[in-house]
Amino acid sequence: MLAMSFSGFAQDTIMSLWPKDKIPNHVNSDEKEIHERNGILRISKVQDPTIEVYLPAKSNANGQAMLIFPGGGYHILAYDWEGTDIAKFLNGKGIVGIVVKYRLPSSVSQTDMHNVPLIDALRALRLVRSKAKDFNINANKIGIMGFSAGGHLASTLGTHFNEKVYTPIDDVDEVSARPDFMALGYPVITFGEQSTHKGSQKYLLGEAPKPEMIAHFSNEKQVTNETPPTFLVHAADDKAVPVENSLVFFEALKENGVLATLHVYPKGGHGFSLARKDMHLRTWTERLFEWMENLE
Amino acid sequence: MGKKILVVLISLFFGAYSLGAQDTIIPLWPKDKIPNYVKSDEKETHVQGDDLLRIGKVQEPDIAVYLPAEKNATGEAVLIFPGGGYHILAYDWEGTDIAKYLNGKGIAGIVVKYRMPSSVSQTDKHLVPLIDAQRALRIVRSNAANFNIKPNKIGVIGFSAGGHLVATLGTHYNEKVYEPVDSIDKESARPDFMALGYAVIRRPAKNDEAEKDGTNKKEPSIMAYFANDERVTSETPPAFLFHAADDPGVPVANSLLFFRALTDKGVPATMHIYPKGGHGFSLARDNAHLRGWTDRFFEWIESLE
Repeated sequence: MLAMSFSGFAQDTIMSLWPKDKIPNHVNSDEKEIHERNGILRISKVQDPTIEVYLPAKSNANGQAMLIFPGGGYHILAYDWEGTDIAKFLNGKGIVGIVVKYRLPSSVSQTDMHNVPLIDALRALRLVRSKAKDFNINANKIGIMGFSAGGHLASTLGTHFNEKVYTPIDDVDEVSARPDFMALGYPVITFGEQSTHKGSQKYLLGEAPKPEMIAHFSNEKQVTNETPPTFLVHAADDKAVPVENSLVFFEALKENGVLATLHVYPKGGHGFSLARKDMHLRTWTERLFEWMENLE
Repeated sequence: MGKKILVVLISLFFGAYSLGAQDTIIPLWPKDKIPNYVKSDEKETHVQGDDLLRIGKVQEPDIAVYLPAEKNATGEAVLIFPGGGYHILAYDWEGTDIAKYLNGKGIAGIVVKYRMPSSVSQTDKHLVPLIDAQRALRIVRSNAANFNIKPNKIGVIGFSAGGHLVATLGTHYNEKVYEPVDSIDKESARPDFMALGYAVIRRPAKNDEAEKDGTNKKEPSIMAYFANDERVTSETPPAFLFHAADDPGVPVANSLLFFRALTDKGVPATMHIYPKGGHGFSLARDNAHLRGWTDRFFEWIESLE
């Protein structure tokens, strides 16, 4: 296991989610991972999914960890904008930030491509929990957060954590994949609706998904009383992923007796990340920390 | 010195009297011109409980004006509508304490002691809270210079049934529900912004607050008139909503309903829903998470254009 990891910079460690020849649903192809930098580092066609672990100083650490799922419509990952910048920000509050570079659906290099992001998400959570000691975190204080399509993946993990979508390959897969809490930023939640983000649906489920598949991945329909406590943040004027997505998820959580917190700001559009340029909106990060401090 | 003179001036104009050092009470209407008023032996009740001051059977509605030091003043004012199920007013808990808190941020706080529906001392009792709310807004706007506030920075906040009244004012400010009594009634009654705390928006079948609100459920026209989510237009003022998800008295569905209606009409809407807090939490001083709503409120006011 140690052999798989290598040190990136001073603070962070990148680890592969799977042993190299045991990546589930992987099909050999000449597809190559692409990194494009244009204001945002966009990663696409991920072949070897990883976690990038950012740890605070031990004396700052509060024992909580957050896995971060960047958005990008299940087509790319906004890797620094909704990933590493978030991890570093969390470190400033003593929270371990772990960016998940999950595979995006690809009919070229994967079988059952609609399950692949969830497969990687399940594994990422298990891997972090199995390494709680190494990362100086409590094994029952591991949360997840996701933005946009990454919010869909996070809410999929939060509602499908018990599903067997791959064959266990080692001890890591015996660990629970249930997140202890989840935070969703302008998340895609529902499919097949007026408020659906069409791009995410197309990339995850294909052009003509069956109604059962749409229902399976419409996460407001998959909430149970085991779904973890949830924090939602959205802008009311989001044109790409309407705020209705957060509202229906909030209602489903409440319906099932799950603790739910919702902050809707009047303006901000879609994909605002830390929103450093908007004095009002950017306070959402403080709402997140308050919420995390008040979890039981 | 300046404040004393101001108080005296207001007293002369309105027959007001001073309560304490900071605040001034002004009747909403000239004594013999209170709309929909019917003479009766009903008397206003003040019940000081161990928890809070409850006022009932209001006969002469008024505003209590709390002003910050001129040097602290931001120019904004907020009229405060305490809750109490259209039956009583939680006058200090959701009224004067809020006004004083606003003063701490340089905002004028004005507590509205509105009449509650009474079949004994009023005609068309379902309209009476709205009549008083419109008048209160107009009086404050007409006194903008006296209160050292800007006439286009006058907001409203209401809690529970007071939130219903605020939503009603925000969606019915243009409606003529009484005959003008003086030049004050030429002022616009449109709030510039509105905040709703665990607000009643309409009356779902199961809503305890609705049981006491004095309107007759058997009259569908009145029900429709006060279904405030259906009354939202693009002119409805920007809104700030807060609610606890576990509210057993007024379900959070009320805020969601109103939020969706505002968003549908393109009205800027802000909403903060906390996981716990129940109903009627006011400043929520004993809940470290929930009490943050007041800071969210100030941030929101600062962000308004």
